[in-house]
Amino acid sequence: MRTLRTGVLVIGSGGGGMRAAIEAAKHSKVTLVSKGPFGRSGATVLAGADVMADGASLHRIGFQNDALDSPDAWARDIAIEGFNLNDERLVKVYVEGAGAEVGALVRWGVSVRRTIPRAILTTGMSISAALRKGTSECGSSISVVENTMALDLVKRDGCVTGAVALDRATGELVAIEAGATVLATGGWHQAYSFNAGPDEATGDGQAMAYRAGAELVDMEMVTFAPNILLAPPRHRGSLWFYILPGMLLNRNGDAFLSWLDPRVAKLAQTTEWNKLLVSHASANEVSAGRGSPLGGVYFSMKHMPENVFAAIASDHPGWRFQGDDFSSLMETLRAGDAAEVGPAAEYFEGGIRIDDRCRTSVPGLYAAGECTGGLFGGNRVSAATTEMLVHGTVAGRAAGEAAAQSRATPPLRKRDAEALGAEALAMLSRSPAVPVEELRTQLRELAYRDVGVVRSGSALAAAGNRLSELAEAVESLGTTTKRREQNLEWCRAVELRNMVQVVRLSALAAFEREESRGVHYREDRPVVDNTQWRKHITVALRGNGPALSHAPVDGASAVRAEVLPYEDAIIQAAEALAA
Amino acid sequence: MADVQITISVRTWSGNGQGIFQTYTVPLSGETDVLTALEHIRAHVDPTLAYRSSCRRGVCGGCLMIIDGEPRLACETEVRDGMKIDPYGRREFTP
Repeated sequence: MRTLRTGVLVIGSGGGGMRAAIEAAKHSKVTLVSKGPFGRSGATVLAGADVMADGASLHRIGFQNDALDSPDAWARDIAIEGFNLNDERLVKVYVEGAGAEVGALVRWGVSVRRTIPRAILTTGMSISAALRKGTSECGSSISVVENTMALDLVKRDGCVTGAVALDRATGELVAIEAGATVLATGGWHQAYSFNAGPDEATGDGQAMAYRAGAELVDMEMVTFAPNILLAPPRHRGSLWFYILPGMLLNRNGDAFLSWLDPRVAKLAQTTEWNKLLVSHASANEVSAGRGSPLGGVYFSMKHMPENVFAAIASDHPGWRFQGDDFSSLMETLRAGDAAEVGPAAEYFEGGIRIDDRCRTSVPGLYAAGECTGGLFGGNRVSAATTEMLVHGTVAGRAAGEAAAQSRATPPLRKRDAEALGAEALAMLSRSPAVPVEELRTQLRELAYRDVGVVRSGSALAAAGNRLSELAEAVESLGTTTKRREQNLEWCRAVELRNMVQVVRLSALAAFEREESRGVHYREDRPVVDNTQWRKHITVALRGNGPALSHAPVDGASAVRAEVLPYEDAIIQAAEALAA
Repeated sequence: MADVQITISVRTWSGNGQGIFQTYTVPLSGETDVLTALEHIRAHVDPTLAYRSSCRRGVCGGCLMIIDGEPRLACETEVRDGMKIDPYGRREFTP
């Protein structure tokens, strides 16, 4: 096995990984490992994208924003949005670091379309291009290793000393020794049969951290974006109707969003609360038997007068969004048909537990961005782009400083890396009991159905049993394709093992949390219980399996100890945010 | 649920970067892109197929391949009967 040596190893080349690499390079040599092509893979390029900071910070950068806004006012809103489950030390780092991150992006040439009260509006590709510029300014301090998939973290004496990775082109395994390791691997979107994430988002970082003994937190919290296209296959998963105005109908033709409380409806129409509220309302229609044939709801524009429709068309030249051309679909909507849409897994509030320097519970291991948990508590409304940038900077600095010390971590032992690599190689020598794709489909359907928008104790218990079986099955996965080079099936098998482990942890935490809070809605427990459940559920590998614990919310401000119906808690949040 | 079936040929991996074109039948239900068709083949017919994809939204450019002799994004190209698809058409290729 080939061995590379570096100061800081960054795993993941989206915005969080690039930002961490840039910051770490001020202190140390950096190796950035990217599962796909550098700067052209991961979730960042798909971002909407707003990058948030408080109005006063944006005003100082030179934008026409509210100079009277403040990081503290924003932090208060984030805690309300997160149903008071946010780690408030992480919130403080986020709001206080945001302004500098927008400033850095502007210096690297990000294109700003316009600003809104707490954000600049740009595109994911522009954010990615700006960060690539920042990365290239670091010159030879950052080496990028593309198309290489981290398999596992390597530990020695309780410390992470680097990782073992697979070169997807050649099938060669490589050990990477590092003084500090940063995970910036994003979410586990692909574990859901319906999702709005990139193909790389398979929970690799969360699973590797779990296997290395790190603590994970809030794993039950998964955001679904509503109005995601279910068909035709060509456009499945697109956010096109998330950004367009329209009317949602159930199969009876009811405009079911009109049933929302007016205070809640305002949140659903004007903020990213729409993710929770509209996903929830849509899922309720489906579970009440009022869904569309594909298991979603209908998106209609038929009510719009011709000139209104024309005005919308002029805002979207050629009916193009991202790289997609929706003109033929839009003809059918203009003719009066509705499209089938539904909630898709879009963001993961839970993940690897970090402190305010982005240190995990395992020495030598840091984490940044969506693969972490705790910042947004039970519900993310503020920008994930800002999260990846602030975390990237904080994690990169902490990892860089640690790696610059002479004895940061013990040297990597090659036999440890080889033992971990052997687990991946064993997949090639085994014949598949069940094909990888079949197990993958089973996992994805289970996750969407039972660890989805609406949960219940009984469904989660059954899912937990099935996930334990799947967790055993993936330990003896085999591939039909035996070659080492260009083996997509092998890569998918490695990813499947990660996804099964992560969904299992998410389902365990969702079963444990016997209440509803934020994006975690239990139809058998439709109350927010601040007397018992305003606390984190953490999970870590102990012995051979996952052990759950409860942890207080760090730095938490006081909330009234009461049990509120879920709908009332949302109305209360709406009123507090409007105040 | 398929409305129609089409036949396409796809270059497979043979170890020396050359590969041979194999013919596959794919059921379609509505407008379908080349990438979705390749996913179907890999899941249901031939797990040894390899290609690269990421965003599926025509943003990242990762699924660029040679389709009927032209470099095109698999996620943005509607699949049609008789299409010839070469995921290895690029000089540097990684699934």
